[in-house]
Amino acid sequence: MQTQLHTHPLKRQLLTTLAGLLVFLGTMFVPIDGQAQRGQPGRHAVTITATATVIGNAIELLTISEMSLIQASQLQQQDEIYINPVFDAEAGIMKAIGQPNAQVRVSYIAEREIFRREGPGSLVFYYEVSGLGSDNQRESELLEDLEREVRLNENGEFYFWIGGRVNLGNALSGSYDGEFTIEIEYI
Amino acid sequence: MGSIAKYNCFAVVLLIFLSAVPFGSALGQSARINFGAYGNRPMEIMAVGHDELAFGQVTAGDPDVVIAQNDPRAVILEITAVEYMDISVTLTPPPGNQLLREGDPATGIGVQIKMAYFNQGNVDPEIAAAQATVVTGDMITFPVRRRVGGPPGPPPTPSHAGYTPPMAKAYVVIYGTLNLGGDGLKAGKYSGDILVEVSY
Repeated sequence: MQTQLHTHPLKRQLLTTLAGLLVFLGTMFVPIDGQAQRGQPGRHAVTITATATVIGNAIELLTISEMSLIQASQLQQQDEIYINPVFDAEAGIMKAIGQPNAQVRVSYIAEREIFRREGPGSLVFYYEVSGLGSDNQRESELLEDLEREVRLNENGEFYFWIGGRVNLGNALSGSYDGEFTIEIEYI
Repeated sequence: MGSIAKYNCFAVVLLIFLSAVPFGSALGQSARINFGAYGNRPMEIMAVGHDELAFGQVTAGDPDVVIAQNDPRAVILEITAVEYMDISVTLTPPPGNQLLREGDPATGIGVQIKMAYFNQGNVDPEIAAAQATVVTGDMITFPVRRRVGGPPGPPPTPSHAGYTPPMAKAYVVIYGTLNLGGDGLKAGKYSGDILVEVSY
């Protein structure tokens, strides 16, 4: 038995047109832009450090922290205040910066008079200084001579810790100002 | 109007109508396909020898210190990536184009960081550095392996499980100038970080 399939001419034309439309519309849904699937594989980074060491012709002295006499006096509660430059946290800190590995001469005035701001009156402060080529107070060495030769480290640095003693037994009440002077020169 | 004409008319109207309707983001887009989104492309980047751009010891009052691209102090980066892909290299210099003094970040020295690239195959890194093409600006996109000439080859094999694409080496050289700016420079160590990013 034969089976024949016939379609109406109008239907054939419509079906052909719709088929063409489907093909056309199908192409519109292909994602040209890959936004939906974008991740970031294969992204790498490396950090490079740029460095330079400046050697000054002059030796620079930086004050890192001041000596804490007030704190020391509160802790010690006695007439004579003493700050050990090697062991006490109240010691002042200074840093010299100059030419790496350079030999330098350090000198300072150990005994200095400090003056009362409110009027007449003064005290005598006896400075003690220790030093080391690295930032390690407990390992620092007391610089007992008035002039001492030391060597700056490979970065051109040298650290000083400033302590000392002062007797407040006969001191008038008030604020006292004084300066500590240290000199450093290349040998 | 006959039935056939009606159907034709309807089809034409429908076609015109649908053509005017925007279908998401597909219409109006430029045809750039991000192949990097399709598959996990391997990449390796490493510094050859040293990874520090060391301008060395300088004295206040010295002239500017120049590290050229073929200078042994320049930093050479070796990039191993898929041969037929393009890669983008982005350079981020130290903030403010300054190397900052250690322990004193308010004090700095001006620096100009530059880069150059070489993509003509696996060669001695020093040769690559000397022949590298200087980049104007902080970003460059280039093929991992420059095509020597002739017509383009066949399309690459799509990424799939177990497939390792052909790899090649390209080089990026990092160099620059330290601007000492005359007298008044404080002694000490100065440094700054340079970031180099590479992606497909």
